[in-house]
Amino acid sequence: MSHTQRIVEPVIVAVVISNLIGHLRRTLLTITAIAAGLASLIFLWGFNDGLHRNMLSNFQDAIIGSIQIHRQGFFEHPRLSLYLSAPERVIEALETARLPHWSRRLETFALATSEKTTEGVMLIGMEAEREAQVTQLAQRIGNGRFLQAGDDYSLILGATTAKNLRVDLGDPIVIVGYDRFGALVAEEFTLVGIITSGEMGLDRGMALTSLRALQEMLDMSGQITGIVLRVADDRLDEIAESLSLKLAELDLEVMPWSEMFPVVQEWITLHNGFLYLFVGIVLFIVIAGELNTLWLSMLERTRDFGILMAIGTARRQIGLMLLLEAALLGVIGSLLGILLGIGVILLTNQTGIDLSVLLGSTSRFYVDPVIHPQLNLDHLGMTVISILSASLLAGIYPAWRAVKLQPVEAIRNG
Amino acid sequence: MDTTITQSIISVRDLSKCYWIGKVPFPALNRVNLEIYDNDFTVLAGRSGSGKSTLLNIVGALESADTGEVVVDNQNILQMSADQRTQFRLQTIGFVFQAYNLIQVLTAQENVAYVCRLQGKSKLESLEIAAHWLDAVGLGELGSRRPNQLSGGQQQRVAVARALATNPKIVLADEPTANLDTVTAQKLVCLLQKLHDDFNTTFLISSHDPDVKNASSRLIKLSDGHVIKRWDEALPPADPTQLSCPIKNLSLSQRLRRLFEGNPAQ
Ligand SMILES: Nc1ncnc2c1ncn2[C@@H]1O[C@H](COP(=O)(O)OP(=O)(O)OP(=O)(O)O)[C@@H](O)[C@H]1O
Ligand SMILES: [Mg+2]
Repeated sequence: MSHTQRIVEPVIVAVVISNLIGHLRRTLLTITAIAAGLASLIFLWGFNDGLHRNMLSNFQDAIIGSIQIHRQGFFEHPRLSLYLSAPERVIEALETARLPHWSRRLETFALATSEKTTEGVMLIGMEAEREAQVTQLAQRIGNGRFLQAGDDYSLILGATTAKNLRVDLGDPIVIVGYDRFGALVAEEFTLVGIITSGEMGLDRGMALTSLRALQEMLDMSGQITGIVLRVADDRLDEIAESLSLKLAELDLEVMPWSEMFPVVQEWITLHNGFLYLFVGIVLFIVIAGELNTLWLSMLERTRDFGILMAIGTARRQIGLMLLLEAALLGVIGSLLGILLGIGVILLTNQTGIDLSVLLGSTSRFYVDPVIHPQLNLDHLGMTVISILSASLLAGIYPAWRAVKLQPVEAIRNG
Repeated sequence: MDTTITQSIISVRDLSKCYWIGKVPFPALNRVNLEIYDNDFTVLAGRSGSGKSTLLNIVGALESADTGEVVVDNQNILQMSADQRTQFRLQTIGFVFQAYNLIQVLTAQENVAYVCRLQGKSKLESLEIAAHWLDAVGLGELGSRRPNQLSGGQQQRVAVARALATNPKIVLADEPTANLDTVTAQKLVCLLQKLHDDFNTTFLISSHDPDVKNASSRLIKLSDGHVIKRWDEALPPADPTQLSCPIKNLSLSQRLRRLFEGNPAQ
């Protein structure tokens, strides 16, 4: 008997489809619920991922870049004595690895003194011509201009620092610091630009000048303390790893941004965690909703199942009917949900979602007011698989109960 | 073939069945012995609670028994595994229940075709067989209707068509007329009898209905789980006028047409 060897007999599928069509309203409601749940999750992930990407990109673009290379221990304790001993070898390694987006820096702590008062600052000497390769810092200048090639003792301050020092464009500022031997050095700079980013980390405690001027002031001609790199997000870890292998004998630290500022990564993980929680809640709702549908539909058809068994349907086939019903609802609902979710993401990715009304200008941490939702295949896959398995799971209990039915009782009581 | 007519197709030996509700026993069948012969049209009579349904369900391998032996079509059904019982119900038995026999989401034709497809026949062949049997029960035109678009009598006739569509050895019908009005019930009885006359199938029907009893070639009466009376060929041959089927001498299709023509809504 060939029919007993098939896993799902076509006639069982036919009954399932007839049943889904026969109860069209219930079927559509269930499918809609699954689709809406999935679509909203996909969209939420898209929004979330878009926001994170935007934030991370802005965060790296602000000043730190993607990867920084210093002498071992410099990031923890930035001292001039920990300068990069062989920068040309690092740059050579970058060039051979086809990583063109790098820029050199010399960093030290210093005091900025105006005619009125004094502020402690992180003084960074950067290559004006190369900085655009690694950050978008130039775009953050709200007042005046960014560093230019050929700049001498020009200085850029954050808005808060400038305000504290009560200085304006064109004003002289004396910078006092120590050279790498501990001797006091001082030089007069001219304020040429003010950073008005709205980010605390940039607007306060930062002083930028040209690499050449700072090298001259510190008597460190040709010396730097670090190299900043900008790389694509998806290659970040791989590049950091291969560089640190390549440069192993130079006693360097190759630090991706996430290592320098783990709190940002943690914040994103935490934020994703909330979304996982949300996925869980939606899953629960989907399971409960579909279970309810299938359960009611099973109770309603108790007599039908009794009759079906009486006329020669195997219990296995009865169970299959309910599982198949659950699977069909899940698959159709998921397909619609995927289409809807991705559609909404693609649409909003183009137009962007303007949150400037919701986000106060003060509270945003490197986040643009207009979010462009992004499709992340990992999150999409995870969510779709969860919803699909949830909807299959919802079929198991009703199927199990239907399989346990005694035909005579089912016919009598159904 | 006289030999086949007297051959026993259902043989029940010392069959007992007791239901338990908690610790209280409800005896349903008590040492029942009976023999049903091939191609019989046997009616199981008896008061409510006398054990008719229980007996039919056991014979149809829908229910288990406590003690005894039931041999149906040379198969000892009480010894069967669950899968064997399912196959037995599919291949050997055709069931007709009191009411609501049909799957609501399937059309009349699909309801009948379903069992053929379970038997492994193709969709097309099954639908053809279903159409044939719907024709035989006088519902040739109504195959595309769903059960809720059919009257109670029509639904029962679809159930009869389904019971026969698998070409079973035995049709078991548990009070098939109980939910019908008198006239409709009579017509269904006529139909059952004619189908029995035309096809080589054994019918075992439980009923209170005097019309059904009159149609039978044998009558078995149950009381409190015992067989108390048995008429083997003792009944006078069914009186066609009494059955309101004054058409017994016509061919089946002629009779069916007569019976249902101009009254498809009954
Ligand atoms: N599931 C059950 N649980 C307990 N007792 C039962 C059960 N099914 C049947 N019985 C009892 O078994 C006996 C026989 O019942 P059965 O249904 O076979 O009678 P019946 O002749 O078909 O009656 P009716 O004409 O009312 O359909 C009755 O006493 C009934 O109460
Ligand atoms: Mg009964």
